[in-house]
Parts: sequence; C-alpha cells; structure tokens
Amino acid sequence: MEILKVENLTKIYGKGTTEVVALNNVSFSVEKGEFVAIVGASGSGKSTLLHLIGGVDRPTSGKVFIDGKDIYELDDDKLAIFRRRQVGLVYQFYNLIPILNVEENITLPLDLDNRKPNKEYLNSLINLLGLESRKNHLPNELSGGQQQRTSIGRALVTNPTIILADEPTGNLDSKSSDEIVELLRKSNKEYKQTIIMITHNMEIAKCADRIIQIEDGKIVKEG
Amino acid sequence: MEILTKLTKRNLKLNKKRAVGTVIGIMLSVALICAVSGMFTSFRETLIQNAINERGYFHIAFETITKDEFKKYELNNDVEDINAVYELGESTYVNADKDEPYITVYSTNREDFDKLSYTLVEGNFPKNLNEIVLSKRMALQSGLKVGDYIELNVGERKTNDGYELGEYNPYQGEDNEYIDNPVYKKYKVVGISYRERNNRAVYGITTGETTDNIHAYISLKHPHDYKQSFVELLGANSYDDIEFNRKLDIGFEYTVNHELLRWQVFAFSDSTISMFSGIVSVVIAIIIFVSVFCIRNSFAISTTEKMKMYGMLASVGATRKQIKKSVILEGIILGLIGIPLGILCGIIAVFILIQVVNAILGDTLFNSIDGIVFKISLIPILISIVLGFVTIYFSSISSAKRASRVSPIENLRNTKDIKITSKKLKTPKIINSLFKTGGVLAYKNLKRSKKKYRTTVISLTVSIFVFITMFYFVNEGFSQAGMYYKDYDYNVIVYNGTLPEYSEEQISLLRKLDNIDKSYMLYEHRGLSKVLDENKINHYSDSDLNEAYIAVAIYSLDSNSFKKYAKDLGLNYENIKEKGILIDELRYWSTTKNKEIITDRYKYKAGDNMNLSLESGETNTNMSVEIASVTDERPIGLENVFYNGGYLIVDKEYYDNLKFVPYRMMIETSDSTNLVKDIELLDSELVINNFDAQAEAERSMVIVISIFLYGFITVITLIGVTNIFNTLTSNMELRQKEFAMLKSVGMTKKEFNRMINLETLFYSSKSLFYGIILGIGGSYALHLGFSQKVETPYHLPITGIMISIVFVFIIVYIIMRYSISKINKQNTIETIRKENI
Repeated sequence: MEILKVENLTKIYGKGTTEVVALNNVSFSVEKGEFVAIVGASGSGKSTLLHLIGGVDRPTSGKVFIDGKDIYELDDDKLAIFRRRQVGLVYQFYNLIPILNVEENITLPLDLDNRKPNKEYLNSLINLLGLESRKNHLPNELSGGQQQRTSIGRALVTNPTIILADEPTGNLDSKSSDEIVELLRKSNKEYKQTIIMITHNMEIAKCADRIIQIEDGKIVKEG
Repeated sequence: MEILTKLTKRNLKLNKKRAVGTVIGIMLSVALICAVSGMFTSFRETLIQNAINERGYFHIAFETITKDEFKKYELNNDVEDINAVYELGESTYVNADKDEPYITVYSTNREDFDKLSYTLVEGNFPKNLNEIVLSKRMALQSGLKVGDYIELNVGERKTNDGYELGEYNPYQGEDNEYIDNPVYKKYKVVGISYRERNNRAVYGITTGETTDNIHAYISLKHPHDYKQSFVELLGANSYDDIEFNRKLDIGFEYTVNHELLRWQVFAFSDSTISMFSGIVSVVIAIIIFVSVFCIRNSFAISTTEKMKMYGMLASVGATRKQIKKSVILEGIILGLIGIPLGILCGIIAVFILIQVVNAILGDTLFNSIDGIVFKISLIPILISIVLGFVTIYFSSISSAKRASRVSPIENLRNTKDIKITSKKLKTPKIINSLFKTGGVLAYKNLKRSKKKYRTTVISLTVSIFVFITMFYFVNEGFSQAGMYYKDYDYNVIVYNGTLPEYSEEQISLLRKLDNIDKSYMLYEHRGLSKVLDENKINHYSDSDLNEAYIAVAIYSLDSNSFKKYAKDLGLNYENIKEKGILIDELRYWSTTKNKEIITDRYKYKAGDNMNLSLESGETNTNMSVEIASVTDERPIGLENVFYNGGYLIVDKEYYDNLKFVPYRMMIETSDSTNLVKDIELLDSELVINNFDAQAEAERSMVIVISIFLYGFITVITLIGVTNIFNTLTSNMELRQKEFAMLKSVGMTKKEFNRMINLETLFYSSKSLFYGIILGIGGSYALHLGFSQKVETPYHLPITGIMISIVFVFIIVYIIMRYSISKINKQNTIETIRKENI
C-alpha cells in the first residue's frame, strides 16, 4: 500500500540571478514498510527533498501525499500537528533540546500533543536504544552516538507513519554508525516502520531495500 | 502545554544572568513609576493636611447665618458635617490697643474647635459658658493669664448712623462707632488658643451659648461634586456665579476653601497644578518609554538566543500558538518576580526620600505642617502593576510573534539573521586605510544589523539627554536660588507689628543695633491724599477702577535713604530735597481688551506742582508739592508694589507737617541670624523678614530637588545601562562563532581589538551626537522656564556634556571588554564546533 507519493515536486530558492533550483519536478512513491535510501552528491537536493516530505519546508510547486493526504493543503498549525504525529525526523546534527534530558527529548512530540506515553512502550524503546543508563542525562553529557540514538527514539516514540532520516550517520564514527543503521533496520523489520534515509555512503545505502539516486534536483536512477 | 512550561522554567534557570538582567530592568522601571506616583500622592496628602491644619476641614464657610438657615443646611444631603461657631459679639477690654480695641467673643464645641484646627497652647477648653479661652494675641495684649477673670460688655458694633460693623471693618474711632446692646459677662480664663492662620486675631472662645449669628463651616460628602453642591446650597444658577462672586440672593457672605479643594479634588487648576501634572506626566512618559524600550529589548535578546530551540520545537511539531505562549509565559514569570520587587523598592524609596527631605528642609517647606507625609495609596501601586504587566505583555508579544513565525528550516540553517545585499555592505576605502581589516569587519557588521544597534544607541541617547538636561537644571537651580534677593540692597526687613507706633527715639535705638551695616527707614503717610489737579489725571473708560476721586499714596524716606534714591535716579539731592518724586505706574484690567494694561495715571512732568487735599479724620488741608521727577522706579522698601493712585516719595525731614508713621526698615547686615535675634529680644512684636534665611531655604529646596533628580537620572541611566549591557553581551555571544573563526583564520588580538574599538566608537559617537543635541535643547527649554522669574543669560551645559562623553565611552568600552574577555577565554575550536551540538 502506497504510503508516500511525491508528485512533480519542485523547490526553487532565491530570485533572479541568485536563483537555485534545488528540486526539479521530482516524482516517486514509497510502499508501507519499505526502507528507502536516497543517495547523491552534496548539493544534489537530497535534504531539500526530505524536508519537503516531512513538511518542514514548503515546495514551490508539486504535491506530497502521505497516507493518501495532501499535506500541503494543511495550514501551518495543522502541518505542525501532522508532523508531530505522523512523521519522525532524524537529523545529521541530532537537534536535541539541550535543556531536556534523554527521556524528555524522546517524549517531546507526545508532550507537545499533551499525550502521555505508554510506560511499557517507552521503557522497551529506551532499552532498544541502549539508553537506560543515560535516561536522565542531558545531551551535552552524551556521546555522539548516544545523542543520535536519542534522536531516533524521538522519531519512533509516536509510531509515526514515516521516518525521515537525513544523513543519520554523517557525524558518527564507524562503530556508532553501524549501531545506528542496525537500529533503523530493526525498527523497519520488527516494527514495520517505513524509513526514508539520506546518505552519501553507499555502504550504508546498501542496507536499504531500495536506492534512489538524485543529481541536480532530479532523480536519475531508481533501484 | 506542560512541556513548554518546563522548557521555559528551565531556560530561565539556565540563563540566570539574562533572566536577572531582565528582572532588574522590570524592577527598576516599576520602582520608578511607583516612586514617582508615590511621591505625588505623598505631596498631595501633605498639602491637604497643610490646608486642614491651617484652617480646618471644611469646603465652604458661611459668614453669619441664622439658626434656621443652619438647620436647613445641616439637613442638606450633600453636607457631610457642618461646624458652628456662634459669634456672641464684641467688647472692649482693659489694656486694649487703641487702634484695635475690641475682643470678639465666640462660642463653640470642642469638636468644632478641633475640626477648625484651633489648638490649645495652654490650659483647657471651656466647660461651660462661664469659662473662656483667649487667643494668644489677646492674652499678650491684655496681660491676662490662665486662672484670671475677665469682665466684658459684649454687644454689636454699630456706627453712629446705626450701620452694623463686622470683624473685618477697621476701627472707625471712638467718635464714629460704639457697642450696641452690651451684655455684661464675666469669664474665667481657662486656656490660650492659637491658630497659625489668623495668629494676630483678638478673640475669646467660650462654649454652650448660641446666637443667630453663626459662622458655619460645611464639609461635603462628595468633595468631587463640590460645584454642584455649592450651587445647590447657595441657590445659584451656575457655579460661575459663585466663583466670580456675582450677586446671589442670600443674605450672607461665603468663602470657598480653595486651598483644600485644590489638593483634595484638584479643583481650580491654576498654573501650579498644570505645571505640576505636566512635570509628572513628562516624567512618567520618560520612564515608560525607557522601560518599554529596555524590557522589549531584553525579550528580543532572550528570544534571539533561543531561536534555534524554537526552530527545533517547530520541526518536531510545536504549533505557533504553543511557541508564542512559551515566550509570553517567560514574560509573565519574570513579571511576577520583578513587579512586586519593583513596587517594594519604589515604596521603600519614597519612604527614604521623604525622611531625607524632611531632615534637610523639615518645617520650612510648609506653613502648617512639619514635613512631608508618607502616603502610598492603592492607586500608585495599581498603576505600577498594570503598567508593568502591560509593558511586559507588549514587549513579549512582538518577540513571541517573531519566535512563532520561525520556519524550522531557516532556523536550523541560521541564515535568517542577515537580510542585506552586498551593495549595502560596501565599505568606504577610508575605513580600510584607517582601521584595516578589523575596522572593515566592524563597519560591515554594524551595517548589517542596524536594528540591533538602534536599541543600544537609543538607550544611550535617552540617558545622555536626561543627564544633560537635569545637570543644567541643578546648576542653574543653585545659582537661581537666592538670585531673587540679590537685586535687593538689603537682606533683612522689619515691618508691621509694633513698628508703626515707634517714636523717632525708638527708631534710632533700633538702627543702632550691632550687626547693622546700613539701614534705611521708610515712612507711610496715613490718611487720604486726594489729587486736585483734574487736568493732570488720565481717565480710562475701559477700566473698572473707582474714579470718583484719585488719591496718591505718600511715603517718606530718612534723608540718607532719600539721598540714595535720588542718586539712583540720577538726580541731584541738593536740588530736589524739598521736592517729591512721583512713581506713576498704573495697572488695570481692561474690560474691552480683556487683558492687563500698564500705563500712566497722571500727566505730571518734572517741574509741575501736584496739588493735594489731605483728609485725616475731620480735618482737611491743602498741600502743594513740586515734582522733581516722574518715574516707575521704586525706592528701597517699595519694590514690587503697585497702587492705582501712584506714590509720592519725599524726604521726611522737609515734610514734618505731615504725619508719618514708620512703615519699613531695610537693613544691610553681614550677620542676619544674630541681628534677627537681637531685634526679637528688643521687641518681640516686630515682624522680621530675613532674606538670607529665605535664600538659604531656596538653596535647600534646590538640594532636595537635586536629590530627586539625580536619583531619577541614576535609575534611568541604570535601566539604560542594563539594557545596553544586555544588548552588547548578547551581540557578542551570538557572534562567538564568527570571532572564533576569525581567530582560527589568523586575526591577531590587535586586529580583533581594533574591530571592537571601532564598534565602540561608532555606538558612542552616534548616541552622543543625538543625546548632546537633545540635551542642549532640553536645557534651553529649562532656561526659558527659569527666565520667567529672573533674567539670566544662557550658558551651555559644557560640564554636563563633558561628563556624558566620558561616561558613555567608559561604559560601552567596559561592557564590550567584559564580553570579549569572556569570549577570549573560550577555546577557539570548541566554539566553532559548538554549533554542531
């Protein structure tokens, strides 16, 4: 079942002489439970594509359907709510709230929704992430890998429709990278989580079910 | 929303310095508003108390009404209280002054006595109608003491023709008036009473007797509706009839207690009140402007520092409303801390200020009260709370909007800060040659964030403007104080009291006292001196002066003083010693032109003869005086006086046919304090004015006002400095990464410092430029205000300007240095990498 459909998505930055076409009429779709990797060189438009799928930015033209819903029909507030419930975002630079501890960072999307997390689920998630001993620590007391795992936890906690990961291992050493990729695969295989991951590392990309290659804002190869 | 509350609270705890900075800003502003309004309410309360102490608590007084009328007024709905003083009549007494031979006898209750602010300086209040309390003057005059008995024949004053005379009619003489229907009364003197307001009155007060001659004092239930109440009570058509004393259909005189009403309900706005409220409004406007500025800026800074976090929250799915609320929540929390603290500080400040002022000025400020009363009503507190919260709300709202509008993407990329094109960043070559790279970077930096620097510049400018203006005021104030009296050739003046009765021997005794450097004696001719030369009189049809006859006032000086006067006028004393100098300056209100006209009463010229008819009692004599000069310059002792008929000044020695009475003695002394003591010892009944003391009082007043002003300036400056501190330190912190990068690329410390110095130079110069111009403008405006009283030339407040220049550079420099030292302490690489975490 098609869980994501991207239709003629275009994003242009700037005006006139400083105009940059980041995405040029991109279309593709993703099935539920798929693990897709998007690869491409720097500046090829990968991050832009991901942000547009996640509703973090608005396209110049084109549509994005998640679970059948045209997300850009929503206004900013509804889009925010959509984001907190349906999308899990993992960034290269973790982007944790520095004054919340690990557990609080993980439950943040739920707290914003005024929902209380299921204690059992939360604990099993924290265990899965290997963070029980660091539950109450602040981000600046964690290593890079631990921070990224927290980030993933935050992405997973709402059981989102789709997880978008932008270079999740870009900032990590090889061992931590492996751990992260393993985590993502686990959540994909065991929790049937749909994942779209951006990476420039072909090794990591190979862990995905499908690889989409982007160059200069266009899809050049789908596999 | 709990998570956002949690975040807000934690953020505050984490950024304690920033939070404390904002709280201090809020505190200072609220304290200032509270203090200003507190001083206002205290002053007002003091003036009300002063008015009450002087004349008692009443709004309108009726002179002599009947018992029936009294009852009618007592029942009136608007009347809160009505106090009665029954006038029993007047009587002569033993040892009375032959020009003021009567004692007026009243009867009243203890309550009314107290309510009308009479005090007992000795003894007790009468218990019945056989006891009496005498006024201090009466006791002195009659020589009676507590325990003595006094016998009186109390009746009504009447002229020989049968007209009734009241206590305000002067004594017509034994041959012209008498006491009608005298009733014998014997009283035991049980006390002495005193009231500052009419301390020279001769009266006695007993109790338990009533008459149909009642002085009624009415206080209103609703003083604010005094106009309506008065109209109703007096049966007038409108309040204007009452105020302008037009014919009302009542049989008695009335007096409105303007002093009390003025302060109680801010009635009868005269220039003092409008000036006063003008000042308070200006002051509060300045405070609000500066504080909104400062607090808004603090919030802007705090929000800017958290923009990244807001971006993260937005990307994770926080709605705009949620983010807005979190910013406003921060404002509310800080307000809940800062506002009560501010109010407390304000109240304490008012209290301390009042103690200080009372210690310095104490009883010289007001006639009938010892010092300023401390009163904080609910209103200043409420105003401060409301203004405080309103300010915070509006300050945080704009930051809240800005935070919520954050697009998560822009924030994560941190590119939004710079909204400028390369054209605007073009740097003039001179900057490069003078200041090299550091300077160029500084210049570009300033151009790119004009808005941020604007708040700093404005804060500095306002502080400078206020400082210079107030500095000018204080300096001028000190030199102005006492200036009024500098024009006089003397510093002590003796008049009234027993002086008119002095013989020449007594006068010379007085003039021989130690400490007198020079003395001048001015005599007054008593009696009417009608001008007979009709052809020399100017009549003005548009005036409402009595033109039935024109009388000139004749005064004489002792020869030496007359000599001095002649010399001042450029006349030769020998030529004019037997002549008169005519002061001719008529001032009247023109009913047609509706303004005051200053013109001449007479057509006399030097050399003319002035023919007068002198009437004194029954006698009429004619006299002719040659006029030596017509002028409007006054002789010593008659400064600032006006009389419709003009003044004729002669040398006493050559006019001994006229009956002159000592009027004023002007004294030049180098030790006014001791001289005044000696005069009082010689004769305690003389009235003495010590100009030195008054000048001293004025100086003390200026000291007190300076305390207020400097206090005010200090607080405003503190608010400004807090603001500047916040802005500058935050600017520095936000640019940490840049600085670290510059250093890593190889900018030397020297270059770096140069960059910072140029920024300092820029801020300071811009704000000094505007601030000094505004300050000069403000000081000139003050000068115009001062010159209403005394003419002095305008001096630029150079010292004030110098001080501000130095001050500004120092402050800005210190703050920047402080931020830089913090930055320098950080490890370059860590700073660059910090972004990634």
